[in-house]
Amino acid sequence: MRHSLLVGSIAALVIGAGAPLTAQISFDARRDAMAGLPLFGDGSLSRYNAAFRAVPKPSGHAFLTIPIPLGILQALKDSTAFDTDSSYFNPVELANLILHPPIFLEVKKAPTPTNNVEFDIGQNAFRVNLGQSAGLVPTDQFGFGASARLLDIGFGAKGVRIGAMVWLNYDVGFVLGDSLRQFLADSAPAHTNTNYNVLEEALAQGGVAPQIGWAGKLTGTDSSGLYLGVNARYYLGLGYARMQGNTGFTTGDTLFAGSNPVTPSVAANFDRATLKDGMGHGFGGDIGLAYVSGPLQVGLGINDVGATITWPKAKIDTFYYDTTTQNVQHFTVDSGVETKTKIPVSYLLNGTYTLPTGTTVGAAILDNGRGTTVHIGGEQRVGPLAVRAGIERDERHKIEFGWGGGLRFLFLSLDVGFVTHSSSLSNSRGVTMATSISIY
Amino acid sequence: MKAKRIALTLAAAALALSCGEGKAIFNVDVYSFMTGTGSDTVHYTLPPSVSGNFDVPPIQVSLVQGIGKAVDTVSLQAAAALVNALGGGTANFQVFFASDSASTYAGPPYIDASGTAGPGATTDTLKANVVFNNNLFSQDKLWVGIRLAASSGASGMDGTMKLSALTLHIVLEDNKGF
Repeated sequence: MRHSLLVGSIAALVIGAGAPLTAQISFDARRDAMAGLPLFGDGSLSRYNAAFRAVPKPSGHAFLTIPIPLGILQALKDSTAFDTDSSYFNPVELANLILHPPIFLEVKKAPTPTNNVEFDIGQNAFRVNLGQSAGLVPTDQFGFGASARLLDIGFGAKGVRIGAMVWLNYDVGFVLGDSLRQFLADSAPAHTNTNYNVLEEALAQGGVAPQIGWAGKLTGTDSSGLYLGVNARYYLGLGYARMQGNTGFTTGDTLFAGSNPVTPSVAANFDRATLKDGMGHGFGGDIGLAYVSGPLQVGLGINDVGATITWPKAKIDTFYYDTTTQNVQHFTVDSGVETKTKIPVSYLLNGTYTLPTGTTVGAAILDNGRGTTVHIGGEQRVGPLAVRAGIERDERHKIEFGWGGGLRFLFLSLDVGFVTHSSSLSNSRGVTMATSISIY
Repeated sequence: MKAKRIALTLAAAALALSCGEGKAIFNVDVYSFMTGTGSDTVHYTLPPSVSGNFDVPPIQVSLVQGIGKAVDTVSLQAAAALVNALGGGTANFQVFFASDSASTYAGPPYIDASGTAGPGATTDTLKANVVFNNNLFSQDKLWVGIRLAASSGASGMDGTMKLSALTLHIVLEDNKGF
């Protein structure tokens, strides 16, 4: 059990170290070609800014985009990630697939570094030199997470919209203890009587939320206006689970001697509630502003404001390492206790400018509560052809690029977008080719 | 938790982060595991014109659980001080490795360094460096033993051989995951 916890922590460290953008690759190849710049009419703007529900959609925008998932075929052929019983099973590849779902074709895989790892071992000495890979050791909190609206349906009239959505929120974060970080990143020797630990926290929650909203023009003329959008939502939680812990081990007087040279250290709290414990509940909402003036559109949206979920009857367990039994024990601290969780607030600031020459340029800054992404992109249309390009700074502060084009024939458009990504466990870039069909 | 577990956990972290292709290299100071245990010193006494072997009890050495699929190369450096007190003869310093203690001395030695003891009180250093390839060294633990194989001269011989260095340099191929 203790070994599983420690190895599980290390496995989570592996996954967390490769944390990518949660939505770096869009299903819309047009958007990918512009490095993820939200497009008006593709749903992403109104997802993050309720005011855009009221902004008149420009002529010629696509009302449906269908991805062409060429990457799935490629992924199914990769047995090193799925054949867990084989000698060539590669958990790094599996982690990559989880973090970077293979919807589209990977035309250039991020090159895996060739790197030797060196260990120095003595009875009272242990040191590891990761070489260039030491740069991958996280020096501050790392992890991954997302707040998703899996389904958002409703109907409306006169600017009022009544509906419901299915929501999901998860967040996983890790921090290496100082000693472990120095051991891995700085090739520091292991010390006796020293604790090597990882601080971890994880939350997963989901439910449904009936909502009512309004979006409309506050003021303006036919060609310009200031729009406001608001949503009020009552979150109903179907279940949640949360863990906060500190796991590791403490070395003894000698590193490699005796029957028990290290002592595991485990201190974790685990609380959760399911539907049978009663639904979680809480209020929250969105607010957005958008200003349109001719070819210029700017907007600011704030989402899940005040979204605190109260769970009426949660169960809380504590896990710890018992030095007497030399095993991890747990006991229930309380059951039927009220707890609270939060959904991170997200912000979107965006702007686009469309010229009469068929040129559209735009920029967007998105903060989803786990980091900020910046997107800048543009499109040039020449008859049925479109050429697109963009640049993005992702949550890890890495610069990524997008480029591509499209060909439109009547009401159909075939679009291809190439986008770089650094979401694998390597710092080098791979290239994904997104393909989609849009219907106008 | 056994020593191999701390090594496994930290090594798993190290190799998981290192990812990609490359070799896993282990520099193991075997001497540090033996010093102070009595297994680093062999006392020998032989009557005239007799040959004999003097073994120390095998000792276990912890490595990291075999993460590489095959051993690329193993380098072994060993040195011992041969301190002869009386008489003289020839002495061979031998080092053995095995996967279990019972068979430590069953196979041929990995190191066999010869020298001369005596006549009389003398001190000699026996050294050897060897390179080989053996998948025994991809396991998570080894048993090591040292032997003095001696042949006495007309006056017999008496003295001690003390290990002064024993280092393993193991290169494993292709560290893909754990």
